[in-house]
Amino acid sequence: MRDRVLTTDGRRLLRHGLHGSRTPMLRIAAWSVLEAAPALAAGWITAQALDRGFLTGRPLDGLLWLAALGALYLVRAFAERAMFPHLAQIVEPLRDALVRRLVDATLRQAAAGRPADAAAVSRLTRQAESVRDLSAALLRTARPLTVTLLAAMGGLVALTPTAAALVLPPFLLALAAYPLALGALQRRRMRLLLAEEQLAAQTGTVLVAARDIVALAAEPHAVATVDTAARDYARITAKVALAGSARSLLVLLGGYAPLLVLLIAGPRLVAAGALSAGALVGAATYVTGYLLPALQMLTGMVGGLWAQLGVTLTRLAQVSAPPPAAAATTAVPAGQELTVDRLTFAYGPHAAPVIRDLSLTVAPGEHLAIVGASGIGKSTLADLLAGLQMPGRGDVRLGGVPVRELDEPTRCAAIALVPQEAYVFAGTVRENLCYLNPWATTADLDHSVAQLGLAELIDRLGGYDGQLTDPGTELSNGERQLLVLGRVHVSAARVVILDEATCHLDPAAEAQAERAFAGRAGTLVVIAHRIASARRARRILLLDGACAHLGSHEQLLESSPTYADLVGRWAPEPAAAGRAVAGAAVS
Amino acid sequence: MHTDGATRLLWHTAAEVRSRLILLVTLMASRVALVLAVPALLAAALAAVLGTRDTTWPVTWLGLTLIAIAAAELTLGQLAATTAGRSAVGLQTRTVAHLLTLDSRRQLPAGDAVARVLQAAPSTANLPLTIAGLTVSTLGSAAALVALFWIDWRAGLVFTLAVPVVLAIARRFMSQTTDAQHGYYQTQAEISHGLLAALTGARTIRASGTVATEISRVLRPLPKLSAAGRTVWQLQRGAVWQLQLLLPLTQVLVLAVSGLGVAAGRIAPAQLLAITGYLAIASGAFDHIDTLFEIAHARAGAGRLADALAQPAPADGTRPLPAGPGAVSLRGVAVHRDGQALLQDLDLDIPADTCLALVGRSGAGKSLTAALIGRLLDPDSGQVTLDGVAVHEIRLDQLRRAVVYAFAQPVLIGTTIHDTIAYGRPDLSAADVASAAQAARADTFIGRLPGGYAAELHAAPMSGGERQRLGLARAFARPARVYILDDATSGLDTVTEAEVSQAITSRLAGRTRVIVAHRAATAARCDLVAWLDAGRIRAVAAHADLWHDPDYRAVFADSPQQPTEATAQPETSHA
Repeated sequence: MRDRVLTTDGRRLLRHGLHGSRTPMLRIAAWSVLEAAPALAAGWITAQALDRGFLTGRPLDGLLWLAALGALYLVRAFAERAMFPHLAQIVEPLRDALVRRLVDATLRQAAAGRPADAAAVSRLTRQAESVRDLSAALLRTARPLTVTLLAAMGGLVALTPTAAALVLPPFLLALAAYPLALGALQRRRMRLLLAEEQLAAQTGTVLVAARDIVALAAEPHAVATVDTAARDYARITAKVALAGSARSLLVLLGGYAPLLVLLIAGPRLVAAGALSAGALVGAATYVTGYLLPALQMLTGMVGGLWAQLGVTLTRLAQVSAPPPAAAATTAVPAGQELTVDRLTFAYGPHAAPVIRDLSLTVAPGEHLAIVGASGIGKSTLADLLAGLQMPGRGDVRLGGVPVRELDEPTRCAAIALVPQEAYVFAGTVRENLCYLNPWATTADLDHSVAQLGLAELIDRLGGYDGQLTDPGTELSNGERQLLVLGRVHVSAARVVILDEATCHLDPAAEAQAERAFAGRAGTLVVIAHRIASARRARRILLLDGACAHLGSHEQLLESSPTYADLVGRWAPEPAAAGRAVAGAAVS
Repeated sequence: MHTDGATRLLWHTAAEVRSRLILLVTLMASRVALVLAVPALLAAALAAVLGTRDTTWPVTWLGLTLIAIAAAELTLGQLAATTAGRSAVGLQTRTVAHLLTLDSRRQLPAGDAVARVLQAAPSTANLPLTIAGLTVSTLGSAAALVALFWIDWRAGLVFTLAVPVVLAIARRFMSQTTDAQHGYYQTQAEISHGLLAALTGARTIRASGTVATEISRVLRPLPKLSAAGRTVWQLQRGAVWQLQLLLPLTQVLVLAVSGLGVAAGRIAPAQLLAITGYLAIASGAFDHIDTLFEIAHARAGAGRLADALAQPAPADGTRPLPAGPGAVSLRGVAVHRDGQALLQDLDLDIPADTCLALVGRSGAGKSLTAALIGRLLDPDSGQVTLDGVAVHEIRLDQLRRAVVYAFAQPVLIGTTIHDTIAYGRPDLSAADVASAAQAARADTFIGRLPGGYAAELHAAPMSGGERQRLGLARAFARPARVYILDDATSGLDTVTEAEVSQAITSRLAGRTRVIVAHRAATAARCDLVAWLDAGRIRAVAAHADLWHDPDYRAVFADSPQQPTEATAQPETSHA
């Protein structure tokens, strides 16, 4: 039944996180024995203090007994103190392992083309943190609780087996019944957490779509969906409370009932001499001071913590499963010719293809521009050329080898794709420039910097060793693009694909950047943001839906109304726009 | 002002469930009273046992009290959960509804908004209960202390002496921990910040094969986090063992004092049990030190929620939608953001049954102008009218049913494809939805989805163009007076776009259409073009007439260097 709360995956993740915690756990177990001393002896000592001290006219002896109890408390406090470093030794590495796993999985998934959104990431980091808090809380409450329970039961049996025989059976029965009651409760708690996620997702969906909902006058409908999810959540909260009330009954039957039995049977036992007055008070102390509070804690807080821990771990295990590694050949491309052969790509098995039967060859050293309306699939083509997407049909080959089959280091060393959103990270300027070529010398850097006209920017940032702490705010979009261009220029890649990578530069800087790349050894493919950028290329590939046209600026201007429209010279004749443009372009 | 808002919100939340709250407090108080009776009853029962007297009545009373406590707890748990749940639902729904009314300038970033609704609303809803619970149990602890004094003033005094020491330890711990926790949270934020930053570069990382480098960079602060965590443990260790020692020692001291009382005959031995009982209830107050922090935290959350709710929503109009063909007029309209004028002195008349193109360079104010008509945004000055009535006077729901939008990047919402197109309009039939999808040229790809219109939206991977077509279908499905297509065909290829334009002309004939256009071809297909330049109307005329102006042609060419080439082009005429 517990399996539902903590699934196999979750348990595996927990085991992974606790790997190497054996020593601290053993140490904690050892200290726990000392920690149990007061629970074991408290009732017994109280009995002795009364029977051999305060009740028999020897108050000094009574005080001595109590002093002994004080000493045991001192021992417990020391044991607890000694345990803390070991607790930290379990909990902190557990958190470290989870954070490591999470960062690893999130980035690997992003690198596999499935980036998580910011909300999901922050939810995950919160969950890793809550595993730390929950496991710490469990180690600090559940563990001493177990120890206390065992010790107090032992103490009671030692003090008076008669009273123990009356008290322990119902208590143990309640303890045994608890997992049964717990099963139902835990399942409801699990459902509660799922309902909470559902509510979060629904609220997120609605708030993200706020503009569209308002524009559609669909607020009542949207609010109703959130309201339904919130009501579901509230309903399950009430159900959890109801299931939780079973614990009040357990406490009543397992904790209070034995006490009453003890009190009812007490007079006869005392009268029969089976129990001394002190022993009775002592037995009652065990029950009210240790067993009852332990039962209350166990059914209340500990059960809740355990359910939360289980659900959170299960969730984390689900989302942090590492993506499968792609198979790759060890083939090495022969040459740098980029061949596109009957390439077809669609976003889903049933979606209309974005690229259909595209064939072309880009010779080594050539400069090709790709143009087309936004959303038409230019970036998808760039991804296909760089081997980041799996073609539906046909393939892209570099030096005769399909790019998807190249192993990652070879592919990435050969082809550099530069997206529009320039990625500059916190670190030195040099680290950023050498990102794709760790072996680049200062002279290499100087060369690229001069070619791209980066010197001024780099001086302003404090030279190559200048530190960037928050590039997102320290640098403008254009400056970040310049740095990234510098990085790619420094790299050894022989095929460079600029996917609107210069869109934030002014036309002059863009022209200089493109000239720098055209002058660099290797092939250049530019997804053009401005028509001026397309004009610098020898050949232009125009994407228009699943159709594509290849030609020079002048040829396309002549043959394609779409191109003319893009260039801003829309020619008359309304029918032209409706006329289907013939099939695929072939180089 | 921040806290005032929070206090008001809390009172309001409490007032909404007033009767339940009163019942809850009554129950809590009864429970505490019963709990307070237990040690006394226990002692009485034990005294009877020890005195070998008849224990029937004391034990019966004790038993009844215990049953009553269990019953009170059962009811309390149930009632507390439903009360808090009801408040939370109310607050969440209200906040979401309010956030939806805010215009685009006042809208919170979605992540922040979600956090406020999900975290602050439940804790705010719980707060009145938490405060009531804390007050009642603190009063209970105080009563237990009085009972201690009552049984033996010496025992009461010993406990009272320990109180300031406990508080001092707790206080020192809290102030030290706050700093340490702060350091911990900062490092934690550093890691998630790094992770989010790396995610923005997902495509670069993917293309560069540098995921391992990125992972180690993001994880660089992890040892620091571990160290900060250990500092917190260290501080806890100091405080916890002191408290672990102090509280039991106080208990032992109290027992010693009372033991002497037993020896001196002042106290009956059974009273020892009563003393330990009251001692436990009185010490319970120390457990609530954490609750105070929780309350402070929840109050801060309530403040954030109150802030969001205090953002003024645009006032609803009172007049019904006037009868009319859909003539729109903007007079002297201005919109500012951060002290900068985005639209200025803008006058524009859109005759009914006209297809008007809004063109201009990016940042000229096209989308902003379009947003004014359906009141997605209210102007800072000037007036917008629909069929002669100011839009802010028309009832909002009626206005927004009359003015329908499609966007360049529609946010699709709904369960199935059908539900997405008919979102919020259960009255639309399958035929309505299918015909709208056909007009938007979305029917073909919907037909290819497994399940067609019943396909799950989230399970259907779509390109930008396909999403746009669903957004268009969503607009087409709604009968309206004014249709505003804000760059809503930018992702379509020219053939599809021409087909959709055709549908706009035929299907929406007789309605007013406003089309934000980036392509010359799109503008050419419209009856009239309003040319916006830096937040003002530069000209309103037919595309063919404006085409003579090189500045106008330059609007459609991305590069500023283009006009010289464009002048060579022969004149265009427009049918």
